[in-house]
Amino acid sequence: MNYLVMKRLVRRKYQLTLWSLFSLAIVSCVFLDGVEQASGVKAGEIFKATLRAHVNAAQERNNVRFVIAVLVPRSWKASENMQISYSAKDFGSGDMVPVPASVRAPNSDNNAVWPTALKNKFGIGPNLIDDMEWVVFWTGKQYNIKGGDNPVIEAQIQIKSGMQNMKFKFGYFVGSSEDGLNDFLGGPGALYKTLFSDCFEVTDGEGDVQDFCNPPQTFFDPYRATDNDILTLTYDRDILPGPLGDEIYLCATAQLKDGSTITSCEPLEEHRLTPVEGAAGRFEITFWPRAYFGLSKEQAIDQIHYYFTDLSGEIKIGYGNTDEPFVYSFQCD
Amino acid sequence: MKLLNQFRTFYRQCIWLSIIVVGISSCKMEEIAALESVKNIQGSWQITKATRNGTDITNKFDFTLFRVIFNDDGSYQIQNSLPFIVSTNGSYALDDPQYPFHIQFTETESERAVGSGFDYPIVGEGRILTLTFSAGCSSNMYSYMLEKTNNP
Repeated sequence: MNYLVMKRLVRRKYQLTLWSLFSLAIVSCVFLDGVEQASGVKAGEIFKATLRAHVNAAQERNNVRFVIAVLVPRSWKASENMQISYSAKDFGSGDMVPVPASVRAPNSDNNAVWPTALKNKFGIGPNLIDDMEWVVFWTGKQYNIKGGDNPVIEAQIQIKSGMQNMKFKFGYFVGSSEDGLNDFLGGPGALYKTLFSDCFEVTDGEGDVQDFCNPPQTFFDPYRATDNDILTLTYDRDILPGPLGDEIYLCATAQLKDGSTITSCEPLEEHRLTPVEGAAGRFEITFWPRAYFGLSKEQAIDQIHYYFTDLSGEIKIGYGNTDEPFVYSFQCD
Repeated sequence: MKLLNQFRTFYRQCIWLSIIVVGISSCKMEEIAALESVKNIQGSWQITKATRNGTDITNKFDFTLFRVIFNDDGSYQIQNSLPFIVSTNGSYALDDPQYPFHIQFTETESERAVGSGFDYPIVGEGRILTLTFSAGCSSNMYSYMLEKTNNP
């Protein structure tokens, strides 16, 4: 390596180091040190978790609130059923309160309100079924932070669990009302942190286990819907390998609320599933049930019973590769 | 020499005085009437982007045939219905003619009135209309971005 190239590299390294030090020096980094929680809860009982976080403040922040958000199943209605209290030595303690619905998360895409901003940025974490929501709280009090302050926060989270038997992974977010989702200062994620739990189980409740942790053979998005929603049905052929090739059609029967049925099982182009980009073995179809089954204005669907077929209709795959149909029930809550 | 210095001082003072006078006169407030235009959404609109709970589904579903036509008499028509704020024809009203943030649809048949968030920004050479609403479960939010079309 000649002298000039080496000199340039050394200078570049020096600049990078300086920039890194500068970045670290001017920002207040937020750290999520851990969350203690049980691995399960009995349905309807109180779920408890202890979250620990700290801030290395290198810059003054006035009238700032500490923000904690939890990713939970929608059916838990955590915005009504969650309480968070906190204590931070030398700063104070108190209760956290829900962030008002109109407050937008600073530095978020499209200046979105907090739950939407977190959903846009972190999605549903490692969960596989999108029937979850970010519920966002912040400290009831505002604080003035000086450079050099290192508040250590311990928060007690309590949520009344839902009645549905299920498995899912909690998500936790910590950040501040001032910096929001700022990815510029200090680099991405310096001013906020997230953490997702292992699979958590709700037991002794109602219904079959809704499993958000493990990949299902088929699933609907949205998970909860009416026949007037636009539904995406995904089929993962590789979960239980069977005889179907890449040409897969939906064969479905609508069970109407009036007790009658409508079957739509022809191998038409509009019934064909298409491969999901970037997910080998997965196929999907997006449809509007009211149009798919040609409902009149008075008709409404209670359930869809469905299979997947090949073009000829001779191969027909049901639940667990049996002759039993998959079943989807329309419900909102 | 002393006279020369006095002249210089006087000359500088004159310049500063001129600057101050010009400065003050240029700071004079003038009222400029900048009236916000009344938002006119008349015409035929088609969906160019659709999201469901924040996920883009534009290319997953055929939105191309849907039209909502706003008329100058306050009525609207729906063509090639799909999950939308309303499913049959009726009348519409904006909450404010100049600064609308909400649009209300009232179906003629049922007299059912349903509202939606309303965003009407200028994008490129024209305006786009963004409507946000629930069609099925209230927890499922759709956002349709519409553009005016000459193809009915």
